[in-house]
Amino acid sequence: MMNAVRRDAWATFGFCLLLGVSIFVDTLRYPKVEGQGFGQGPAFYPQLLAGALMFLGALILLQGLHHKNNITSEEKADQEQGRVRYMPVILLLALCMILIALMNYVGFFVSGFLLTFLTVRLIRGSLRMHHLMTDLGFSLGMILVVYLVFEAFVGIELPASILFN
Amino acid sequence: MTGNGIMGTFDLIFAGLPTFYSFYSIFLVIAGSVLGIVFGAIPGLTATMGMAIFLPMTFAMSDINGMLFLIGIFVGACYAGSLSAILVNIPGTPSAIATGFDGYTMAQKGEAGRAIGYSTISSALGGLFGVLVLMFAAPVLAGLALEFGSQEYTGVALLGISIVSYISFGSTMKGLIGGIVGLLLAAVGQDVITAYPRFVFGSKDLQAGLEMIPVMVGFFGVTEVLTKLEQEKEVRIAVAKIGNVLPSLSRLARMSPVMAVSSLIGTFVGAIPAAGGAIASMAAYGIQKRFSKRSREYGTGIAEGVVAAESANNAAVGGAFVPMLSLGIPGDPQTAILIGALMINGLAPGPMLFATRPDLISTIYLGNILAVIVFTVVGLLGARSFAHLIRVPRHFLLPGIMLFCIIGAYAIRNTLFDVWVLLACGLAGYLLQKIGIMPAPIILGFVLGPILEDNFRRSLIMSGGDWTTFLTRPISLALLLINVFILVAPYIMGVFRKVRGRPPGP
Repeated sequence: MMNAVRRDAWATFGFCLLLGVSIFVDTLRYPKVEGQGFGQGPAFYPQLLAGALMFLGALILLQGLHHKNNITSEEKADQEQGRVRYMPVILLLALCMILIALMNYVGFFVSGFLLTFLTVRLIRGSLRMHHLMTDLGFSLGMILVVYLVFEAFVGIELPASILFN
Repeated sequence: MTGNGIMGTFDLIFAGLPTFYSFYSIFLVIAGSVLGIVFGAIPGLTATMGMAIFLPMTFAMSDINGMLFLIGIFVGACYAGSLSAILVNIPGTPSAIATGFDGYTMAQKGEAGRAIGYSTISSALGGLFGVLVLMFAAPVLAGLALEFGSQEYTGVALLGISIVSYISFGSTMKGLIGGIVGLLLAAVGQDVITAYPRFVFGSKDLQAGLEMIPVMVGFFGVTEVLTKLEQEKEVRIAVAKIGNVLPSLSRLARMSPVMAVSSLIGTFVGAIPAAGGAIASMAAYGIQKRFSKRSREYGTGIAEGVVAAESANNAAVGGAFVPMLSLGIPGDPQTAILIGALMINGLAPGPMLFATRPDLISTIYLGNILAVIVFTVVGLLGARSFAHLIRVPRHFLLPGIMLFCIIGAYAIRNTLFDVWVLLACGLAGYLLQKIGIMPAPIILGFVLGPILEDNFRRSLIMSGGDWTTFLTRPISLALLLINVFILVAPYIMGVFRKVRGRPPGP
């Protein structure tokens, strides 16, 4: 089985290669500029960076492959710390995407309130009535603070609802 | 004015006094410092996050007032990181890691109040020392930088990236990869020389490039929220009781050599791009421990340990302003945000700022001094209430931060496109962290990107494509050699250690 160092090296290499190749492919269609010396075309600089990125990715892979196949102290510490929970991260990102997409329709204050309230509920995970009421109060309070600070004081026009207007 | 067009040091210090001396400006420094203390004291919140979240509030302020507010947050947070390190052994900010070595042991012995007292006073004196050095060093360096051409600026920008990579958490190569990712993000939009649109994928919003604020807030704020969210539920933390805070004058006098040496180390390390308070405090603590007569007692709860770490990390704040003001190069993520704030106001940080806006430079000095005074007063008088701050539950903290991040991203151009950029950067930061590529090098690369590309390509165009142009100018050559040394030295040292049969260092 691959240890974490090798897995990490392959992942880093894969990322660098993917990004580097994508940049090369995209920049190939950029126009060539002649006559002012080397380095003036729009593709030159990103291609240079993409090359450096892939070179570093390859070095990291080589380093990872030469690593001894033992469990490192860092891996041991990670194992002792317990498992990572990805579900709350995915749920929060999904919630953000839905509410940002809805922001133009329901307005910032409704979607901002929903985002705050649902995130508090997601993290706390308690169904007790007094927790529910506290969370509701906190979310309303946050929206009020946002309104007073950003709309009233700073003068930023937060997205209004096209449905309610 | 001197021949360079930069005012004399003393004229510069007082040039902003009429603007600074207003109720509103002073109020903003105080408010910023208190906010900074809150952000620094709560474990998981950092100075960078606080500055990034509150940056949009500065849109309603003048450039000077906005800068004062952000400086307040920066300075306040750098100090307050020590509070949670002392009270619960969780450093509020990375720069307070060394403070916990002796601070928390003192708290366990029932001396939490005394540890906070020493931490507050040494932070104040270290902070003032850093500002003093800034006042005298920055104009000199700025005068020198006026002679810089494109080749030298290319070298300075590369230096920033290589030092970030060398110093940042994890491996140097991954730091470099982060820096390159930042440089590539900065390349999105119209090419600086030909105005050809790069990586815009037909989007009109991307034509002008990625806005600094959504990218910064995404990488620092949203990434942090996602990282905290994946951890197991929070553990109840026991906070030490706080007794008498004020140390006696005679004890303080005995600590003065430790304070002086640590402040000097802190300012010097802080002035190195990307080094920051964490390295400054660790270096000062390590040196004091190595050379002190009480060397063996360090780590067992002695006040000298707290004093060494705290005077260094607060002195580093003044040091970090030196490259930012004189060269326009961010010393750390916080100064990168300050550079962003200046750019939003149409100001280009760098040597010309000393000639064109001496009032702004002066208010930065004065704002730093006032912020130090504010945290000293709050630290000594409000020590007992810090215990409550540390207990803020994360189910309220994380949603609050997320909401402020979204507003911050939206506010810059009043467009939801920037909110999507924020989310994308937050997710990218979170995933890249999984493979050891941290947000700090990415952001520094993003800030340095336009400086590097513009100067690098301009140098090549002016020299007709001759790459030796970077080697024929002495300062440019020296900067390139330093770059090579920084990147290659760890590997050469590793080879030497292997040859001598010693285990490699961290």
